[in-house]
Amino acid sequence: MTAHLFRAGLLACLLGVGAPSTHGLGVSDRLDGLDSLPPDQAGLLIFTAADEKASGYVDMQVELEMVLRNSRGAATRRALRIAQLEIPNDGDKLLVVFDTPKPIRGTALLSHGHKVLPDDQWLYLPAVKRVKKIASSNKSGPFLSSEFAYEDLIAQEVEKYSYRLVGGATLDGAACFVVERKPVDAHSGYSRQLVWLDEAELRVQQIEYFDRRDDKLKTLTVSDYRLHAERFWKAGRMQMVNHQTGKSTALHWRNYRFATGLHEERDFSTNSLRRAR
Amino acid sequence: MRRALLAGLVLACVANAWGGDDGRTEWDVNLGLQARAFAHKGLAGQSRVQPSVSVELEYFRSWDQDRQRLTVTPFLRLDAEDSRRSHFDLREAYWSRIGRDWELHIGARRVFWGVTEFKHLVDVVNQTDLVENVDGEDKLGQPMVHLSLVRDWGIVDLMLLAGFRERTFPGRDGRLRRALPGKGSAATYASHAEEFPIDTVVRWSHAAGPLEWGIYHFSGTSRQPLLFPQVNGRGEGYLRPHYPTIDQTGLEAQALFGDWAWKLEAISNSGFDGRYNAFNIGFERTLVGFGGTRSDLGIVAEYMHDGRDERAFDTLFEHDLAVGTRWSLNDAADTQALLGVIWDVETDEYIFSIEGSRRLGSDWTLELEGRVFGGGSLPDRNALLESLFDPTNKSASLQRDDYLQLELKRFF
Repeated sequence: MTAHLFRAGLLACLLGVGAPSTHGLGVSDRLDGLDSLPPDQAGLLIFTAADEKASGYVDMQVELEMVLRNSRGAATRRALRIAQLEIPNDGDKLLVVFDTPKPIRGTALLSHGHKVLPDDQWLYLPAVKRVKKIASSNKSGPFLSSEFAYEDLIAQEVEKYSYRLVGGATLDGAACFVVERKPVDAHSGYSRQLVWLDEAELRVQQIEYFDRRDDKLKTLTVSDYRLHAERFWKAGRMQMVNHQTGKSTALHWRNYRFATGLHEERDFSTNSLRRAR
Repeated sequence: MRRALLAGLVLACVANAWGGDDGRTEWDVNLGLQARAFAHKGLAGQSRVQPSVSVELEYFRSWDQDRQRLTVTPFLRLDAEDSRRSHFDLREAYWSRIGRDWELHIGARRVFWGVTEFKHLVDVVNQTDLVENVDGEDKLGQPMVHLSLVRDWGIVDLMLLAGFRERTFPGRDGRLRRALPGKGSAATYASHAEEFPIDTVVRWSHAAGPLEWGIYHFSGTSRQPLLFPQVNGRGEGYLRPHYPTIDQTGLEAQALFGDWAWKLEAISNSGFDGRYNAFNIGFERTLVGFGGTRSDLGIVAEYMHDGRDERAFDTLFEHDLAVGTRWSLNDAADTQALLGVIWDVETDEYIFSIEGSRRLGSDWTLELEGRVFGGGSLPDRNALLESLFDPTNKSASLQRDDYLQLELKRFF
């Protein structure tokens, strides 16, 4: 089974994955023969199946509130909107627009994801009307000063990691696969991640991140999954806790919309970045 | 006349905009309180302290399923010292029609091109609002018809720039100016159309892998004036701007490899007195998570060259090296700072510069800016004209203008 046959949705792992509740293959069909595979192939099969279930959404729009808390619990809030487009045989395209805080309103990020090559990313700064391309080494940096790195949120292509099924565990009463994945790109900020996916619907429930020195850095917990458009499981809440600094970031996802008629040239070019608001 | 045309256009668009009921309307306002403190009194005895207030309003409406949009952004500054710096400008007042792979904008807009940090060579569309800042990064709204086409092989921009904006100049009581003040209202033009030329720009830009580039041709009235010393009826000297007609071809290119961004800007200008070429070349290296912290450190180095050498009257940077560091703390307050020095490798004139900003709470920002000018000598009061045009001492009139500026902004 070659991974590149399967396309991955941006944010797919974090935004959850879709199970066709009324049609298509069930999870058990997709994971046929899992028990007989060596751990690396089993891990890849799980993520490939999860990715397949998340595919076919065409395009998506969602609103996001980000709550940053420092170690004393003081909160800073940011509101943003995300538009996302599936691109056949390549990584997906993503436009993020910042609404608040007001001083950065209209700031926007455009990402053209790729499976193996580094993603292309541009940032638009409305005060100076300037579009700046972002170096790909930036992926390990904080996304909007949050505890999420760019690489945690953007371009979760299957090809960007190698996998190993390390076992099973029960999380909040749900049976989960635990898969270790290692980033392929040397610019990643992580040595490895441990990912919990529930066996029933292959939704990411928890991720532990280990820094380059292999110390435990962060834990992400994902909750409030709901089924959208009768096939896509999407999370309502995510909580990232940084164990080394005591800071945390909560994401609240709202108003998921699918197949809204977004267009590649009109909505995901550097021109659209300049007028995104 | 230009203002009346613009106002008419805006009114027509507003009327149109209200017609739709499926749209959204947004109002944004920011108020700025700015204080500048100078190390010395000015050459002409100007004050050491320069307070001012500014307000920028933005009205935005989109309708017709976001296919039509109207943006109006008036800006006003009131300066306690310099009456010329008290000014109003329609930064933007334009209507847009967004198609599937094209967009059309009609009205006053600001468009920025370029990749380098210290000097913006290829940025040609908008006139500089020089009273706002000596760095030339503030721009006046330019009335235009702008059609942009998105194709597989890149983006093509076609622009008709209708009407000329005169550069603003600090007045007699203003700081950060030449030894004599410029007088915009006395401007003369090479073009018979004077203040109402139709300038044209064609540009192609594209990205492929780690490379991205843009190339354009501009034909019309130069945004950069020649300055001629004159004496008014009261026996006071001033500089009369003269705007020649030019053809300018420009190229910008950037290549990103890992931490490194390599940058190039180049122009060929038909010139005021013979064709000349100029370029900026440099890099920025970004160290993400510098020193085990969550901050980013950028190291910038650029070389600026102008083929006219000392005869390049319109720039201080004709054979100059610039190095700087950019700090982004990646904290909740978005704290950033840029420190730099520009050094003229032949005359040893230099400029130290610091820019910093952070948010205070969710609706306020605090910005700091400071510059130190050195390496040049003060203009000779007995030979002011000669000093004014001494090509080896172009920063003469800035030598007493070291300053620190704080600006507090409130966003509504």
